[in-house]
Amino acid sequence: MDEKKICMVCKKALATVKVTRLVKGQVRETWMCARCALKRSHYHTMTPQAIISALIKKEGQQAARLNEDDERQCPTCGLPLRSYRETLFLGCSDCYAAFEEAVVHDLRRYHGSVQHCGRTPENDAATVEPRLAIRDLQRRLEIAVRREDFELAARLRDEIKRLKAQIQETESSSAKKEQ
Amino acid sequence: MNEKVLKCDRWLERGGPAEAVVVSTRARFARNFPSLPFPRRAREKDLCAVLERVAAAIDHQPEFAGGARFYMASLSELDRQYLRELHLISPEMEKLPKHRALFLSADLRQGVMVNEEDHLRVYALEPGLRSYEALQQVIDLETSLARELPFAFSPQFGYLTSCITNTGTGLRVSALVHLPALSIMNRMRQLVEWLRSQGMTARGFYGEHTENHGGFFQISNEVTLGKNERQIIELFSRVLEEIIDREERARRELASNPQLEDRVWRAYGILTHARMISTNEAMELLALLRLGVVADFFPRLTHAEINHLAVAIQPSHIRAYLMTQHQEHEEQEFHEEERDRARAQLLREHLRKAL
Ligand SMILES: [Zn+2]
Ligand SMILES: [Zn+2]
Repeated sequence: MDEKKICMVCKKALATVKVTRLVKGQVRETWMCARCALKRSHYHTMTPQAIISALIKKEGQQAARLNEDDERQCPTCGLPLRSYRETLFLGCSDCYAAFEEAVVHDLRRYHGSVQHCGRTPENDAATVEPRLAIRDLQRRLEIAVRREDFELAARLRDEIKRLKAQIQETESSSAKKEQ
Repeated sequence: MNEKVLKCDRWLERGGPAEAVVVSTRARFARNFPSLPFPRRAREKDLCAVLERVAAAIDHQPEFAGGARFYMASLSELDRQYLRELHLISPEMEKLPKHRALFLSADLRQGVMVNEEDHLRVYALEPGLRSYEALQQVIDLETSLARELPFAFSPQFGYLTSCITNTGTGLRVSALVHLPALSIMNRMRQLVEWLRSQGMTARGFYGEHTENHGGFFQISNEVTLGKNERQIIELFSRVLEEIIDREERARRELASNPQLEDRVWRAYGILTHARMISTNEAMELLALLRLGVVADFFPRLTHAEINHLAVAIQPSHIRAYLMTQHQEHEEQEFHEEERDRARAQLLREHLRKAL
């Protein structure tokens, strides 16, 4: 890549991947950023691992060259960085710290984020609001009634009833615990 | 075949909400022990240690008392295929059984796969569309297991998994959906593109890669890091509502199409009269039959029954069926022709009463 190319799909990010397809016997090349390439149908039938390794192989040669010289291994499981690069499988939980830059790079590309926000081993009390589920069901119930699909409506109504009973049950049992 | 394995098919019989479109919903967490090599890289003694530790923790789960413990290596190939066709284990577990196990709760709603890609794959499985419930079930089980087992976690990356595609929450929510109308009307491409824009994926469920028989798809979230469990499930539910809505709209449009009526009845004719039928052909015809149920052609056939048949005609289920027919207890190979005959017979038995 001599000149800097802009992604032909989103027209924003720097293009790092060339997707080559055969369209009506003609080779067609599309330059894309990694995120757009991930979303393309070309990759759709591949597993996420295969997609990422394909992307990594195609992405800027520079990064690849840097890593070739890197003989680093995970001190716990002995996995070479090179092997992670090839397969995108880590060897153990300590590999995350051992190969931090590489992992951060790939996580950002795949998930669009590198900061976990969700359950932790400490806040194990986190539960799903059944109320949210009820809200969804009620919306479906309205649609079902409008369509005069009464069989579905009856089932949705039963489901809502069951969830409401469940909420009451958990509330009364937690009230008992507090006493 | 293993008696307990055979009985696992009852989980699908329960039926569930939106079963005309959604066959089942699953939520799973990927979890690992800290500083112990992940299964792909682990030594035999590590894998055995993982199995023992998880089995001991399962002993303390009341829901698992009276459940099943399947050590993959001690099951036959047929047993494993049967479990995979019931969506209870992954193809990976089926192919490489060594040091791998599946623990199931007594009601078959919760399970733990051990030494698959990660040390633990903790899951909840519900018939029909019950995403919040599946998530709650799997959270309960994971919470309870986490009191006894240390799970690898980092404040920045969340739960640490073997592949970076699961890092973070380790949560994958998926639904097996049947979309015959969208498939027939060539609207799947459009749907798949929309799904991708939402951070979700669709994969053909039966058949390899792009080839898909009968319009069954697996829908799941892609991103597991940077979104919490609630955001993931909300996205999932919203997307599933939209999928159901699109499929139902397409079904209504098709219902008034006279060509479709003819195709449905032809499918019914073949399914109730054929003497030999392959899995693929049967799956295609079941898709048309589903549309016939929507159009009220078959007053005594239910969506739940079609969901059940889609599993019952799969290869290992047909082999199990043949064995009961022959009153064989020893496993044996049957010729493809013999299986195609048995499949046709099973379909005739079930569908005779459809009118
Ligand atoms: Zn782009
Ligand atoms: Zn390691």
